[in-house]
Amino acid sequence: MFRRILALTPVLLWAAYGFQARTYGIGSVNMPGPGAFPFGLALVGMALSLVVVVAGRGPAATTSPARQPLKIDRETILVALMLGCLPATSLFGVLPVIFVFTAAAARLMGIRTWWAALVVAAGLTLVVHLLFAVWLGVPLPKGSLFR
Amino acid sequence: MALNARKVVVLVLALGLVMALSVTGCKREAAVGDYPARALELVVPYPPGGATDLTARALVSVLPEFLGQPVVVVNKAGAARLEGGEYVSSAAADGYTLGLFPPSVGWPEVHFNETPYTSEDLTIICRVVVHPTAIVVRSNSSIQTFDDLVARLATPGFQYGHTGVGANPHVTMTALAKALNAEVVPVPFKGDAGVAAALAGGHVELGVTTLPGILPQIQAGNVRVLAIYSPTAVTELEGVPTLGELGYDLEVPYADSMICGPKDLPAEVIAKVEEAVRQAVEHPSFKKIMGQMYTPVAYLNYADYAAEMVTTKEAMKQLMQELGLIN
Amino acid sequence: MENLVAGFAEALQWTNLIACAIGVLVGTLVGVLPGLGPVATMAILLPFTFTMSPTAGIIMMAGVYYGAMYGGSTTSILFRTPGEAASILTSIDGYELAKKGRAGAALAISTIGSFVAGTIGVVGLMLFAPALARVAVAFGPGELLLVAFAALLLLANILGGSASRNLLIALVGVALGTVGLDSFSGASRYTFGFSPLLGGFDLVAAIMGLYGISELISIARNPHGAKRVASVRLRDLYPSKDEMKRSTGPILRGGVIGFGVGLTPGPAAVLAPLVSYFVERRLSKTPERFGKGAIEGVASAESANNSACSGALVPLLALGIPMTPAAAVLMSGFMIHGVAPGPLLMEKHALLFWGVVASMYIGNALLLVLNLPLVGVFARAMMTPFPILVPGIFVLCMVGAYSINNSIFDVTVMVLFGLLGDWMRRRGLDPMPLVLGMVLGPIVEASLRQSLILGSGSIGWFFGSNLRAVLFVLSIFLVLYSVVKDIRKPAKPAAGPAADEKTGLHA
Repeated sequence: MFRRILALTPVLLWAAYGFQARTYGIGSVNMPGPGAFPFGLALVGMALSLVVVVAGRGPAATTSPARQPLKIDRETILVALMLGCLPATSLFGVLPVIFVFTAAAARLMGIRTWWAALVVAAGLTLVVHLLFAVWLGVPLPKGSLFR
Repeated sequence: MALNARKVVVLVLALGLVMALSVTGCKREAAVGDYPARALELVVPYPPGGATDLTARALVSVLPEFLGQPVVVVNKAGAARLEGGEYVSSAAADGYTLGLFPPSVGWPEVHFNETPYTSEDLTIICRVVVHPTAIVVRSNSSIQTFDDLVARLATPGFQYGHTGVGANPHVTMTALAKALNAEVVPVPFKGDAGVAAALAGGHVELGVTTLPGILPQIQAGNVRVLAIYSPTAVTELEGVPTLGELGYDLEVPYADSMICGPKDLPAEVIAKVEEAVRQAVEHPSFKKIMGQMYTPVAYLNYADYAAEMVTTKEAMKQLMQELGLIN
Repeated sequence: MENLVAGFAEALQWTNLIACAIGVLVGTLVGVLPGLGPVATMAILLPFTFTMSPTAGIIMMAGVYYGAMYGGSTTSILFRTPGEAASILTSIDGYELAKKGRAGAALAISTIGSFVAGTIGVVGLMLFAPALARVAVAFGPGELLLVAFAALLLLANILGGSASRNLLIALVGVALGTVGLDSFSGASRYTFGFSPLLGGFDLVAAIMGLYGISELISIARNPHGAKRVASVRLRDLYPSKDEMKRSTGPILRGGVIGFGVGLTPGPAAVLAPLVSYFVERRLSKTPERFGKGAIEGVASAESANNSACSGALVPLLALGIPMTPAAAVLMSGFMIHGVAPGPLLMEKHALLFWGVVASMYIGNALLLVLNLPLVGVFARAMMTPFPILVPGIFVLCMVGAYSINNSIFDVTVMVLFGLLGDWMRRRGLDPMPLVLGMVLGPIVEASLRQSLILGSGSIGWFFGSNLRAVLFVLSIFLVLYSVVKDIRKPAKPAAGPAADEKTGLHA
């Protein structure tokens, strides 16, 4: 039963999308407003999700085994590190972030010692600096703490 | 590799430690007196390749002669061009981060409802050039002169292509139609290339676009320029009147390119930049490139530009409200 | 003919030859780096051309442009990280080949394919530019709408798996494409007051996430699943006789198809490799190998994307209308030298035009000589151990995504699409329809609204021109076809990984 309700989520999402579109203004046929296209899209999307999900042609997804949610495994840490890079880059600039990320990710992916990880990190940071900043002249983000 | 809680903690601690070290390791240098002491950034809120980008690149190729420091062009076209403006508005007020902006980025509150910054957060230092807006028809059109166009516009429902809603060509044509009491149907295309393609393919008869973007078509004789909207006539375009010369004094701002910095710039920085730009726009190599783009150099200093903007900005705001583009 | 000879004489002058070499060298390098495309690079080089002769300056910038197409396949094949939409298909078959130890062969075939198709493209450009340019601009809003719409339906049908499910994913892509500032009305849609969203989701950042970042996550989850065959013997670095033979047809056909599709404004770079790839799968005696490491897949996609890049130059050179961002930068290269591209280019600046065309032959040959020895180097890069590879690829992607618009928001988009890509991959969903939706959606919407305004909202307008009428009937037929096909086919639950899905030919 729960599965069935869950399967309706796409339909509800399309409905929300279409509902929001209405607030942008539908306009008329010879001068369509900004909401017209998304609204039409939502209608088609709802119809199609009904066909796909309710008619049982849905993705095999629903049959895949449930994953344990609160396990800290390698991929979760990698994703967390990637996400952490984003605010860190705005704050510290890209080069320090590359250094830290590389060291941590290298260690995570199985490099033996911290020393080796730091050497890899230093090398990669240097390469990025030389390649992009010095040679290609790409203005790398400096970070708000340094500006 | 087995991961346990201890290793995760070590990882996070190491991360924080290196970050902290890297902050304390680098102190901000003071920037007073001998400005500029290092390279400057000139932010362009467009992707590379347009008229503003080209103007910026031509400008930075001569600016170092007068500033004594290199200037680097940085394209920041994100967030519908507003990212460039936001970047400059949030930079330190030391004069090392400047921007070359069109009015829509210099005064975003006149063009958009929700803006991450307003013109209050910027210092508008000076105007560099004006990119003329051109009113053009296909060369096989029966419309020969601007007067012919006025006659045609008397019939309601005449369609014209423009470069995008709220952009200068659209607003200019709207104001012109209002002055003529005409009812026109605007068809938006994607930038000046979109209008050029629509004209070349015969999908619209009349186009309102930026002059540099339609230049190849003019030179090839595919289109005819009826009038331009610019403070001065373009010497390369013989016999083409400006709207002002035709007696239409629209209250719409021209498609300016203005130098902006963050707010609260020190007066000596403003003076220094103003003076360097004034000399740079007179440089023969800059003038040559602008001439090839049919773009008149229209330098206006800080004080004069501020005075002019008081009226144009208000007029623009009113027009945008009438168009229903802002609240 | 004498024009071309004069052109070669011009292009072979020392300064022009050096400009060409620098251009293609820089182009290859930035093509290899994901995200950092020819647009940014040409812009960086633009000021250096101020002091050059017009011919040398334009030769150099054009060199960057087509040189980048050579490098573009490298990261796709080695790390499943396409640097632009045009290389997605290369990343599918190329990466499978690389895992089997055939990275060298895939790289070499894509270089040779690029060379042959690039040359086909230049020949096409030289012979037919003025005539073809008229075809390109004949595609107005109405025609474009019907083509984009038909392409969306057609692709949902041939991608394999259920057409309605593909279409649904594509619609999600279209919906994602509506986020941001609406260029028709100035209204901000689905931004909810968050200003970085005004510009929408950047396509290149999304692609790098969906393919590259999701692969990194998958490696972290299961390093053994991504194990590669260690093979650096010299004779394994280059394609075998059989592989060469199987690639010849796809390369030649891909070159012609790519050039043709490249003329249409807008989505050409994405559509050209797709069309070519599916034509080859149709013609192949063993279509089931496509998607699992078929060398023909790499050959067809890579050659088509290269000649599409020449096709996109046609409207620029013949009419002075830049239909792609890269062409727009190239156009400013012309403008600063006072040379307006367009119909007068061949008359007024004949030597310059033919010099540039001749330099493109020379540049393509230089690229072949430059890239073939690099195959060995790159193929060894494939064997980099994961502790260095994973952070290395992420860092390159991060800097690359940043440099698209010099914006950290694009890096965020990349990582979030990486998570989405990983989720889709675990559920056996193919991200390709999503990308197509994002590419074609904005074109469908813009041209639909333009058509409605131009035709004052009447259907009759679509029959106002022959081209439109034919396309209109064709797309109606396609809609009916896909609906009927999906109803008649017994519903079968899809299982297994995405790679298996893609190989099923349902046409």
